[in-house]
Amino acid sequence: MSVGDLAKTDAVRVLYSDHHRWLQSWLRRKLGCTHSAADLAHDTFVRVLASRDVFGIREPRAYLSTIANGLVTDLFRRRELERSYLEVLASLPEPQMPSPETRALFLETLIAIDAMLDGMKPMVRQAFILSQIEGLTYAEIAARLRVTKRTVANYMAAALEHCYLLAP
Amino acid sequence: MSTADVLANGDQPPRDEHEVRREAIAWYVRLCSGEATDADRRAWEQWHRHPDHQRAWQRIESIRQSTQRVPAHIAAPTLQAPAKGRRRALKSILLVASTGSLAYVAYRGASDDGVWRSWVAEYRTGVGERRSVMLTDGSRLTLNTDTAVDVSYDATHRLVHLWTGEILIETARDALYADTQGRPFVVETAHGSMRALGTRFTVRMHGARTDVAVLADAVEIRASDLPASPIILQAGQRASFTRSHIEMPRPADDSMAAWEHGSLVVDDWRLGDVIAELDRYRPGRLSCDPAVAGIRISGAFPITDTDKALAVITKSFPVRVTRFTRFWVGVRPL
Repeated sequence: MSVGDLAKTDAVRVLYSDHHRWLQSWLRRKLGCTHSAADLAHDTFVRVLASRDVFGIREPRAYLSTIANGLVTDLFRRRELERSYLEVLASLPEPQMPSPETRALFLETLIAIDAMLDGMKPMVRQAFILSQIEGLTYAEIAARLRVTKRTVANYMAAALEHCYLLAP
Repeated sequence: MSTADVLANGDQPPRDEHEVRREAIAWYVRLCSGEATDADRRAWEQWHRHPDHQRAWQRIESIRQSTQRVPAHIAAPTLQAPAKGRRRALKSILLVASTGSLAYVAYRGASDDGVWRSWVAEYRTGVGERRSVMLTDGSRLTLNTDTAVDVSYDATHRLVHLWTGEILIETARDALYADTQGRPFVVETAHGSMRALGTRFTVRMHGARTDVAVLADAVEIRASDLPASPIILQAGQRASFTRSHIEMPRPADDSMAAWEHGSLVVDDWRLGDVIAELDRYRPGRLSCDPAVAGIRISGAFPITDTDKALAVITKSFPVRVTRFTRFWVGVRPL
């Protein structure tokens, strides 16, 4: 660990002791749940620790709440996704039901894909799912979305552009 | 980048990153279209030689891979639920289903005729899906990959029309008509009809013909142009027929219905035929190079995970699998 890293850890420690309680109660008001609030407060500081510049923070509470807000959005998104995932699982015939381990793995993967698709325009997202997950041809997607094949190709290019920048 | 690096790339100068990204995306968009040609593939291979292009392609690959880890019939409806109000997911499942991705059922004409409500149901599966349904009389209908059937029951008939794909039928004694012979159970295709004589059998629409394999009891086949000359197929026999011709029966065994449990069981098949069979269970195109198509092969392969089946084949035989996209996979000589 370099001297810089030590100094940074120190700065975060100060931030933590000054604002952790405040952040946790702010989160509790938003989430209505002490447990999730504690988790997200913790995650917020983990993010702060991972960020490059913690020394120049002028308004710590605004800074922390911005990060925490993003995490709250993620959490809601995740819950919604999980809910629709469970509904899909419930609709499967018995023999197709994956094992509990597989179910958990699938959910993690779906959350990652959902995050990757976040911010795409609805039609672009739809075209991408139909092509990459359902394996439809552009002609089939065009018929389904009632657009031309050319438009489907444009949607796909937009979707890939979007994912490309997020890909590892 | 130093001159040495450039030379190490094999006299190919480094390229502008944005341009490469645009090209990689354009290639992928082209290859996924469902209309890419062999010439496209060759041109892509040429393009892919450049190390900068390979790096860009790896990112495309990682996007592709992340979308493949969850089976489509789970991933698509989950992700397609609108971001706002995912609670309506069930509705979107039905929407997806009606266009063929999941099996669905629609009842109509439910007029009560006093004894039996006549009804019609449609069942469908997408590529790679299987589904088993219990019919109202206790008979079981199992749909293999990419299959569409209509089922209609009324006071005098139990009729299954197979439009495309493959089904396994296990008929039940018709409880409502137990005192008589029961209502006949008939499967129809474009080529003729099959009357079940209390039984377990598979029917597959196979291009210009229908294949029937009888696993228990017997089935009576009538080609549609020869209604007066039916033949009876006994358990352990299979036959193909067209509208005007029924072939000589050949032996059949339970492996014909192994798909019911997610396997393809083959005994001394040509590799080309095995690959063609696996192709039914995956979207896109899976092809076999003629140079290796004649290899003889026996064994059981998972159809629920055709990538695994391909991995097993490449381990056992001097072949390799080449992938251009998920939807364009070839089996070639080593």
